[in-house]
Amino acid sequence: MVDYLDKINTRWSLVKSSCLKVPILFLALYGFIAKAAYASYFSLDIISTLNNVQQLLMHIGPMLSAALFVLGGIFYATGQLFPSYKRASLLTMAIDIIIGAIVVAVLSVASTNLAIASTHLLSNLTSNSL
Amino acid sequence: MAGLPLENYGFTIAIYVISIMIAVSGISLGLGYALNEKKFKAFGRDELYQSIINGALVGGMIALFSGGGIVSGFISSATLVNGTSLSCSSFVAVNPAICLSYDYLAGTSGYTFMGVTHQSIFSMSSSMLTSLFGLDAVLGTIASLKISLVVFTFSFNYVMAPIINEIQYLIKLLSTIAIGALVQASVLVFISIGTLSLLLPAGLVLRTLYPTRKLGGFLVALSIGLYVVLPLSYVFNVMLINSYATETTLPNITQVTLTASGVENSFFSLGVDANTTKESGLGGMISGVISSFSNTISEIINAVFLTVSYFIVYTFILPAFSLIVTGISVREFAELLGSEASFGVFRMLG
Repeated sequence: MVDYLDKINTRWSLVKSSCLKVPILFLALYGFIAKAAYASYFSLDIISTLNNVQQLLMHIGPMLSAALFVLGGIFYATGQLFPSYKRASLLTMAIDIIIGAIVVAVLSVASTNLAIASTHLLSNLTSNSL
Repeated sequence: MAGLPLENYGFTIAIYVISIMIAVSGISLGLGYALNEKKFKAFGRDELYQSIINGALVGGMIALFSGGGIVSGFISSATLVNGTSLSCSSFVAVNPAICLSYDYLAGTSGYTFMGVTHQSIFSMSSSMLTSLFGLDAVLGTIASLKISLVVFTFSFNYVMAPIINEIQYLIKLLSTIAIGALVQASVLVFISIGTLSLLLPAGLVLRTLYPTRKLGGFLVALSIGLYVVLPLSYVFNVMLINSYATETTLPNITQVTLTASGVENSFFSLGVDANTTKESGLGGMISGVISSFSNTISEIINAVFLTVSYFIVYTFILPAFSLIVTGISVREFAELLGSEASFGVFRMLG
């Protein structure tokens, strides 16, 4: 019985280390490439290039966040089907993924406002908008 | 953001880069939480902190270097003391310390500092050069004279050669001093034009990006050192020499100029006489030239030596101290900004 549980744990570790990370990273990479390939996001004008890169990230962030939310939901739902010792692990993973999704969404959407707000930390002389 | 140090598009570029890095750090941090990856989490957290710090740095730099900013006010109060009148071109007038330093080194119309009027080092050295060129020409003409009498032949070359050599050496020194002053003035012009409009924004932007953070920190530190510390150290030099410069340098230059003119006049008057003088009068002419020359040459040499030695101090030794102080400041600022700056053997001075 102990050997059987050990085998399950080992397999679950493999799932965690590869089968989970690879799809998520692939998803993020695909999002970057797809968004960059769709439009002429890069030009010689540095400001428009930076603006395009920022817009790209502001699109990628919510996409990735939504994907992570879905993935977290799947893990949460799947966890309900397993016995309690396995459910706890899956629920923890689901919560981690959802926290990650929230962090990605907040920081990528609010990045411009955070950048402008950070310039006001030491002074109030800077502009409030780009 | 017109009128601010990060003029043109510097502020916009900085904000874009900071927001990009915040978004990248957010994605990294989020993926780190989702995948439970410590490296992603650490990278995202560090980048987020650094991005916020960079934003604060951009705002702080604008507050420090803008027209009514703290640094500008400090530089103005240290430079534009009572009885100070400067005349600078528009490209160096932005920073009063650079304006005073430029006038001190290579200004054309002179300046008044704490009620005392000065000429620039370049003006003084070039006026002395002009006098020495005239004197050298006159002495060279005298040295080329060869008087042949029945019983002996007299050449002035033996008398004049060592003195002409010394004067030509002094001319080389003064030329070096004039060029040194002009080079430093040109560097100050570059600093005035390029620091706040190019180096500082580039440093802030580069400091925001992860791979170029150290380079950016160094450029920001270099900008502060070049724009604030170096000109203020020149102002300190001007303060140092302000009390005794007019008592020593200007009278010497005047003395050299007048004496050189005196030698020229006395020689040419003797030369005119020599055309009409019989052979019996040549001995008197020779003795007249030599006595006139020996009376004045010691005054000229003393005055020129004294002035040139002061000029060497003003142009090379004091600016060397300024450079060392600037280098140490840049290194300290760079360390403060998370970068590093090393200046070879001078690292021991800090």
